[in-house]
Amino acid sequence: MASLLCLLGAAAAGLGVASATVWRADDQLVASASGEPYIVTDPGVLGMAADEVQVTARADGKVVIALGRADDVAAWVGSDTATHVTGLRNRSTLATTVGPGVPGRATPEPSGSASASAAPSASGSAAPSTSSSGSPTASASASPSDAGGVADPAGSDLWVQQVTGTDTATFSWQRQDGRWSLLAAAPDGGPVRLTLSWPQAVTTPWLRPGLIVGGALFVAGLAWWIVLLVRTRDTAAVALVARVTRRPEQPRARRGGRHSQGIPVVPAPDAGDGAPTGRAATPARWSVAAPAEGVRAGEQAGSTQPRVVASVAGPTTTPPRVAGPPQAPLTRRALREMREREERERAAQPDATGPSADQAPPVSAPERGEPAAPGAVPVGQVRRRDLRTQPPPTAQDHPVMPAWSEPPTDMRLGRVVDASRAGTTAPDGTTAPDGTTAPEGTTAPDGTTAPGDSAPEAAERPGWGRRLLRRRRRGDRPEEAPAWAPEPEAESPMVLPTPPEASGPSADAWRRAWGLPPVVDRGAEAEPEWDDSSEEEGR
Amino acid sequence: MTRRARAAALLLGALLLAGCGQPLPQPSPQASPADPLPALGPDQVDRVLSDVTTVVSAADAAALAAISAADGEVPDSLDSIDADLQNRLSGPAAAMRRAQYVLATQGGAGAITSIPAGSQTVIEPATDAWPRVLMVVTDPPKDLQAPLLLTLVQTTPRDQYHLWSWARLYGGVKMPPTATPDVGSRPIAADDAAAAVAPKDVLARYVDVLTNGDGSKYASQFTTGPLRTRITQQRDAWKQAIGQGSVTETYTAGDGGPWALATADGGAIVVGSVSTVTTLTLVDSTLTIADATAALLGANTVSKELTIHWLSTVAFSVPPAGSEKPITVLGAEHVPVEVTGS
Repeated sequence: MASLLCLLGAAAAGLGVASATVWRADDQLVASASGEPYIVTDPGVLGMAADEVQVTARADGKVVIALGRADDVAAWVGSDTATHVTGLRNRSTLATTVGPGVPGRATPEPSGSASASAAPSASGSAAPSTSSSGSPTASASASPSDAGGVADPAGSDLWVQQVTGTDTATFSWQRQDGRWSLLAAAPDGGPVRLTLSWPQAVTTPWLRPGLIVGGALFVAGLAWWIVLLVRTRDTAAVALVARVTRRPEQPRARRGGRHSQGIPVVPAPDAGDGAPTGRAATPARWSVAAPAEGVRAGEQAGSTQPRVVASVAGPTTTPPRVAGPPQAPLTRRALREMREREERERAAQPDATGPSADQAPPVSAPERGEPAAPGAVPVGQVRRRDLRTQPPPTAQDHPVMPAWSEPPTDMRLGRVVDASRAGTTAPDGTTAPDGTTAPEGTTAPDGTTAPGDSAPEAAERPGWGRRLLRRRRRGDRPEEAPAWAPEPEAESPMVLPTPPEASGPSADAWRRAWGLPPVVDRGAEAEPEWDDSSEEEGR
Repeated sequence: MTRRARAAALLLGALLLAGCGQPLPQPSPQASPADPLPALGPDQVDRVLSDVTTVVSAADAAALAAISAADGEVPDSLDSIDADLQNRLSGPAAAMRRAQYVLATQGGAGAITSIPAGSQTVIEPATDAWPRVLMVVTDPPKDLQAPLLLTLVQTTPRDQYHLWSWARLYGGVKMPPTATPDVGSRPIAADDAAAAVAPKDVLARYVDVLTNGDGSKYASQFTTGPLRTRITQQRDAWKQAIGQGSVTETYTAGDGGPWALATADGGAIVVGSVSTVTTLTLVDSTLTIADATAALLGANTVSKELTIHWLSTVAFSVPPAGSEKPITVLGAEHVPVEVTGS
């Protein structure tokens, strides 16, 4: 729904913009009509669509456009037939009627005595009669009855403005007070085509509303998103708390893993001066997939996890507890291997090899784990994937833990503190490799991952982009997916049991410090996580 | 959710469509004014005057050129020049102008009334009917003559404004107040008695005064004015010159006009023409014609009879109805247009 809102908002804004761009109305309203031999615009037509109009008249030969008072134009046309433009028929055609210039009124006769007798009698004859009666009216324009019925309006004193041209004449008119008509004529005969072009003040009435409404919707959608995110983060945080208590190391591991994959480095400290070696060992991380022990198992199938778990458990010795149930078959082998490894490690710890092998998996895991942050992962699948894959790393990290407690320097303050605090607890975890934590991580992929993930997430709250990037990266590596298959949600139940262990006083304190609800509901809170994920799907 | 979204999308689309469908613009003409507007805008008046004076001055120049070339004879080209004049002159003005060209063959350029292009007063007709009359008081001519009152007439919508008459305004005469050009003056029909006297009657009464002199019952209704004085003096001069012969003069109102525009005080400016025919009958004598009139006659002497046709344009200021004031003769032009004799 949130994304739908965002979509709607974007769509509304987009439509608004489109209405002002792509769909923007023409900034010219152009309409035309034809008539013969005269076209007359009724008063009001010129200015009906704008305060100015561009007039074009086309005809064969001479073309005349004349502007005059409506009454004058009508009188000039007189009883002749003209095409009268009465308005717009549509947005490209002028509405017209055909009729005489002055309905029901013939062209005014020359008034009585003035010119009635005035046959242009050659005044040269200078007869007295001429002088007395003679006003030879030489009209500038032929009367309609002459010249085949087409008179030339050009040059008449009636016109306020006029334009003549050959084949085409153009004229522009600005609105002015009064009743004005336009006369277009083709004195040479033939039809005249009159085109009126009004500039349109194109309004974009939908631009602003579109942008505002769209923006509002979009923002609402975003807000919704954020709310959802925050909610999931809360739950994640809860999970984190639990986890932190168990394994403070997570953040570090994750951090190192992300940037320089220094996590391996961290283990080195255990050994002594591991940091440098750790870096060098980084590559090992990738090779981790095939840790010494896991090689065979790893090849077998998606069983990577179990292997890892096993390896982890090995060191702790206790793992059998936790890991036992789900991965029972592997356990023995794993135990064996682990013991061997343990011994190997103890023996070899000084060397970088030991740690690198062990740590490699963790490194990769953290990476996955980070993105897995419940809130950050929109897609349930990804997240699950992470969850499943994670366990191995966590499990392997534990051994390292003890050494870690000191190097909090890398951590961001908040985490560091947590980490250190957790470290106190962690030591238990480590020292008591019975691995409250370790097993938990392994056994309950979902639960464990959540905490593990949440921790990193918390560390990186600021860096959305990073998280996204990470997520993508993760997505890009299908190779890691194999972990998938092995343990589905079936293991989730396991998670719940573990939390209680984690819920130490220290954990509570941490929570309080963060303003989070007490640990009691752990299980209940863990579930919301999943709820969130389901919500995510809804999105 | 989706249903709501769909509804929202539909609504949005509908609104957009509604936004696109603007109504067609409709013409909304201004209402016709209750009172007719001035028939011409200022620009149009200038253009008309310019056209008229251009035609006249072109004809004048052509005529003078032809006359000087013809060396005293009446040039043949006068007919074509006259034809050009017909484009912008009509009535008495056209006849007078042609006569003046002929007179100029004897009297020189001084016989031609110069018509200034500039105007100091424009009296516009406020009308939407035809014929239309435009009166203009010109700037004083360069020759220090009196300004002219030009009367231009547009007979029909398809006609141009033609100079129908010009009249020299008399010295000391004051033009009656008239409405400004942007308001316009109401045209007064020839038989419209809106002012004290209908235009037609003004002419008729003036003719009666000319004919009967002080004996006319209308004599007191007109200021004397130079025109009447001149006509009377001329007639008396002829009488003396002829001796035993007889001199008769008849006056008639011209066919054209009269044209009248209302003044601001409810009176009218009336412009008309008067035709005067002077007939001299000689008894056993010969009359030598010295002045330019001979040009019109084509000879210097007559032994039997001489008939002179004069054309006069006269401008009157008619007081408003009920006024006891006399009709003022504002100005006139008096030109012999034809002379016959033997």
